[in-house]
Amino acid sequence: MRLQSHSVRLLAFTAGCLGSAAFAGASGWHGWRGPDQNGVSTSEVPLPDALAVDGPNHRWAYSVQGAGTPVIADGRVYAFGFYGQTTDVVETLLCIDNKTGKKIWEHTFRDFLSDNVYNRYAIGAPTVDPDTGNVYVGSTPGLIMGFTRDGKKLWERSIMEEFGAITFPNGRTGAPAIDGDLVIINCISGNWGADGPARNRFYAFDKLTGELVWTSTPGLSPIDSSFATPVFADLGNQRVFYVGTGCGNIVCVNARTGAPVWRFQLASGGVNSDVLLLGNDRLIAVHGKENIDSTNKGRLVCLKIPTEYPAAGSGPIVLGPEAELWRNDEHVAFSSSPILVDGRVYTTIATGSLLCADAETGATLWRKKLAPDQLHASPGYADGKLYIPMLDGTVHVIKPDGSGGTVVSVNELGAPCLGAPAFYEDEVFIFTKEALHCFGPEEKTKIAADKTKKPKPPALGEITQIQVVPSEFALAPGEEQAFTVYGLDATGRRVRKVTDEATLEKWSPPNAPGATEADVGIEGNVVQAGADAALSVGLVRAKWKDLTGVTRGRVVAGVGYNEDFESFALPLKNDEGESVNFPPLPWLGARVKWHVLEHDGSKVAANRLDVVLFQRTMNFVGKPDMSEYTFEADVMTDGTRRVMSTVGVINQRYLIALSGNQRLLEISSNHERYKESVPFPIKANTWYRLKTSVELDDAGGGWIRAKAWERETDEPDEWTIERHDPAVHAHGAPGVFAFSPQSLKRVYIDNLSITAND
Amino acid sequence: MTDMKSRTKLFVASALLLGPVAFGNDWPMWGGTPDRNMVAEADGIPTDIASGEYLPKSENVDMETTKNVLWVAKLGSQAYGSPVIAGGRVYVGTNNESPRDPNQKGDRGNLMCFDEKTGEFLWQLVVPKIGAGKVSDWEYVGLCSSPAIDGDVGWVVTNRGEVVCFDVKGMADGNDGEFQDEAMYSSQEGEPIELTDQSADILWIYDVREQLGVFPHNVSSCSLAVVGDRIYAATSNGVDWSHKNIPAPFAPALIVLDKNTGELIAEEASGVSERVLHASWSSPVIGKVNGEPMIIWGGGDGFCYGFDIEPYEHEEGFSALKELFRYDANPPEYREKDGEPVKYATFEGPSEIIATTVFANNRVYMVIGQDPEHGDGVGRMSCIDPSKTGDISGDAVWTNTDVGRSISTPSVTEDLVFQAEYDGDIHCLDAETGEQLWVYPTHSRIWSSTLVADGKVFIGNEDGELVILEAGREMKEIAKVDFYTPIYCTPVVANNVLYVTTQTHLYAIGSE
Repeated sequence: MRLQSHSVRLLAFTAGCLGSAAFAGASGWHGWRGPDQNGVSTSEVPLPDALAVDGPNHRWAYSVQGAGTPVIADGRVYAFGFYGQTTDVVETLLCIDNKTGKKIWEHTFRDFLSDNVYNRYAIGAPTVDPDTGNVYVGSTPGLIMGFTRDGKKLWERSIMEEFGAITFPNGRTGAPAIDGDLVIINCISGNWGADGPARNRFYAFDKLTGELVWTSTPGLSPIDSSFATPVFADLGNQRVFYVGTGCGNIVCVNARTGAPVWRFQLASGGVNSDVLLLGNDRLIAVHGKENIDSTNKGRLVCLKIPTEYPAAGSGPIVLGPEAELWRNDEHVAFSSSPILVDGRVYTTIATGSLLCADAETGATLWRKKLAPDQLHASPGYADGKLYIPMLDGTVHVIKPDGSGGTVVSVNELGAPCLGAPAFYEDEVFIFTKEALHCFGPEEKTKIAADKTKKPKPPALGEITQIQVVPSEFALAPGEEQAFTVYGLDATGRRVRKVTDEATLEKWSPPNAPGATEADVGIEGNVVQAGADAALSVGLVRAKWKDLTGVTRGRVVAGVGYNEDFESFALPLKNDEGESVNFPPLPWLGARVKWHVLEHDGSKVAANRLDVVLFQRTMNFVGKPDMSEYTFEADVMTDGTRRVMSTVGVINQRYLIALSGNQRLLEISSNHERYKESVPFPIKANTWYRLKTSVELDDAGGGWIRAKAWERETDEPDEWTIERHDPAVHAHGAPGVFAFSPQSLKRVYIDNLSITAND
Repeated sequence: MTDMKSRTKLFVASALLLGPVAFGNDWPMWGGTPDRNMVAEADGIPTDIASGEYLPKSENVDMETTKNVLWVAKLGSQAYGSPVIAGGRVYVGTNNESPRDPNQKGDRGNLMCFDEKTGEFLWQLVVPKIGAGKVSDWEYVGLCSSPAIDGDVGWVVTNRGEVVCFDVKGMADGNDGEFQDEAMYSSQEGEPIELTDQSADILWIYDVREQLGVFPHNVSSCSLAVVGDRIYAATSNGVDWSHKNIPAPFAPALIVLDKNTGELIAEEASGVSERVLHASWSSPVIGKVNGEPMIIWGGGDGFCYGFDIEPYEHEEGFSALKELFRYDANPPEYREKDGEPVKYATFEGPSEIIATTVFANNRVYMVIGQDPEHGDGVGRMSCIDPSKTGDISGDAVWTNTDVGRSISTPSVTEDLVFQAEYDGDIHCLDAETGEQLWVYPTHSRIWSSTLVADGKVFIGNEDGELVILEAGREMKEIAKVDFYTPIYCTPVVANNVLYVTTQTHLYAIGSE
């Protein structure tokens, strides 16, 4: 019996590493695509032919709604799912005993401010770090979290509030990818400065501390989102990953530094399916959107990919059409990922058929209609059988052979399937929109321990580059950030920390027009923002010997923030010829959304209407750890009786806005999760003062309060709206919000102020 | 079969009394007439059809490999705007992925016009994208509406939510009409484009976004009804990204324009937009109820409405449509269970009307459905008496819940109803009782509507099959023809030629 790492229980614990419960050699199905990143198990443990719910092979079911794939490590099943239907929806990371189906621990997370609709939650998967046994997951609103195998939270980052990550109605969050020291997240963000334009970005966090190690922007302006998972491989002496993007490219990125290596334009729209590697010189990818050189939608391609890492300084390569070895336009898959078994590629296409193609030529060898259609679910392969969950809730077990496939069983799971099967020991896991199911042979199979030793990595080399961590920082006035400087060898592996021998200094790239300096001081490896530090952005450079590394950061709004925009010069012209300037530089994703301009003799921020894509904007101005503050602003909408706009602020993960077309003062945090309002007779072209606060109680709840009044009148004593949320968001970043439907009527904001609650 | 044909003729003839004058058996608007009944007069439509193969390294069909295909025209990469045929021209909505104008590349909405006899490309209307992303003008979906043609003039709803009136001859006979700035209109980048004989000649434009503050959801889609001097248009007003928030609750969902000037004549004031579930995409019907014309329309709130053809002065000082009846096309249990609202876009939840309601037999036939993205779910077909007034919910002639969610418009003969369902089934019901007579499963998603012509039911599905059944009380498959590319448009017949529109090609099918 040949066993690979996933089918083994290895119980050797070691202690003393960073984090808690450091753990050597966790075994299992660690990522949703399995140990070989291709949906295939090479274990020879017999698996059931039929997967009947309540049948002889049905070991257990856990009642939780799923839309992805569970992962399994050392007898623990980790499932990203959700509960509830209406305002009660919470996502969960569940840890379940694989033998009993009983819960060991779980953490639940509420949505906030996301665009998720129709309960498209938990469309993704957790990922287990094989070195430590830690488990990582990203929630719908963009909380990236690490836990120990015992459920202790290691860290949490909010990529929406910290990096301007964008959520989408399709909900797809995907799975974190883990390689070496890093947890890598794929998202679309509109951050600040050079990272301001919305792009697919990859954020790499230190898996033990959650500190940002690098950011990578390997693609172009995206049409769609993408939740594809990076697929890792060695390229020359470097570690890289390959993944599809929302801009229709397949990209190759250095996994240790984030440096883009190459890209290939596969489609006009997003590539959501994971890629397959065929040897070290070929890559197979599928998509379901517009092709760039024909008018049919969707294509399976095989690319000839570089086998050597490009020489330093050559910059990212753009692979041309000559890289394409073959194509097959019958394989149309938007988000279902193909698998590769014995030289055959199996794809479930959008119209619900399973297609088998020859990986050498791309020719379709056979096809079978399984269901009316397919969405995110993907096939898996183990024990000589394809296990194929479909959107209609059927799971097809098919034994492929030379010329076709023999249907072994068709199983009705009773609810839609959106993930892939996972395999562990003698178990098959299928997640449906209703439950997580575990199937296995009636007789449990004894699994021998894996004696395979991990190959020893090559020895570390000399330090040839340095990396400053965190690679991006945000400080409210009065805060400080300590940095670690790592010395990396030529392959990007950490040799040692050189922090004590390095010096940090503020820095501007030479010949960089408009370069700015952050209002911070530096002492040793610590960067400090003084109590009166102004909102600002800039770079800090570390030097060690003749090597340099850069981190970039912002001084952001905290308690005490006041902005009346009067100090802004207006050197630019907008399309209407008005004198304008960009909004405060540390506002996330704001540069193309707002202008500072003069209106009725006062300088104010006004949302831009030149691009309809930006008709709605939400821009965070402070940090997500803020709690119990009062955020006020003057707000106004242009308009007529018939058409107005919506303007407001975000306070602690609640959007509080004057909704012009509805004549409401509204509190929301994802419209299906939290939405409360009172009628408010908003008049166009009239300034209102909007005052908001969130106050926590002692029982996990809190009060969300807002009042609005015509600016020229006295502040009313009473809150205009006051609502109790029994599961309050306990902290969250302040932000500004505008929504001008169809970009017709502009809104204005002025005199922002953040204070501690009374 | 002969019976069927003569009955069909009768309907077509009676409907034509209302609609624009058509040549022979043209199909000048969605549904052929303002009744919108998917029934056409025809004979000799071949059923032995081969869609053919592409020429090597090309997307052009090798005509040597086709059978009973008269011509094939290349469209873009997606096509949802079913063709109309009038005055020797064929019009179809698509996108710009096969650019006919080498200077106009990139994502656009296109209305293409071809010669009816030869398939030769004549001209096109090129409509820039709003640039709002998916929320109001989804990338690459193209122009999704069918135009309506009346003599030398046509009207179409663009992907931008405009009603555009155009000269059917295009720019070849000069730039006619008040509107002269076609070069800027078709510009995506802000620089005037070069106009040619193959450019559209726009006569006027009415923009529901700018004029009425409408927020079209995903894309604007409505096939206009043109009767007398008036045009009837749904606005596609709907929800935003959140699918909960309605950004323009007081913008109308249905409007009436002057067909000559584009001037707003009236708007619905029934509060459809405040209740809209997703978007108001259904196309309006003008039916002669007991001989009197009435506006009949399926709302984005799941109600079917009847409006007086003549507007009245609303108390708030605008010209409004007087509501004669409203009928909830959902049974109460789809909207509420155990005192709680049933969530929209769940299997059990309520639906809007996306397909077109059909006026036939002095009755109105309708189905409820949702955006295909919302998947399967409970549905219902209703037959109502439009001469009733007030809220007639629950007071149907018959209803049938064997028909699940559907975005397909029915074909109604004197005694039978053919109704496709999104799940791939084709239902045949008794028109009088609503009793289901048979169901034919195609095993593939259906966006297309049925068309009854020449005694047969024609329909396309997502697997790219044209399914041909006998239009009778007994289920009989006549043929299945593979077009290899999804068919979302409805097969239509004009002048004894069948038009099948895949995502990428338009096929004219007739006896060779």
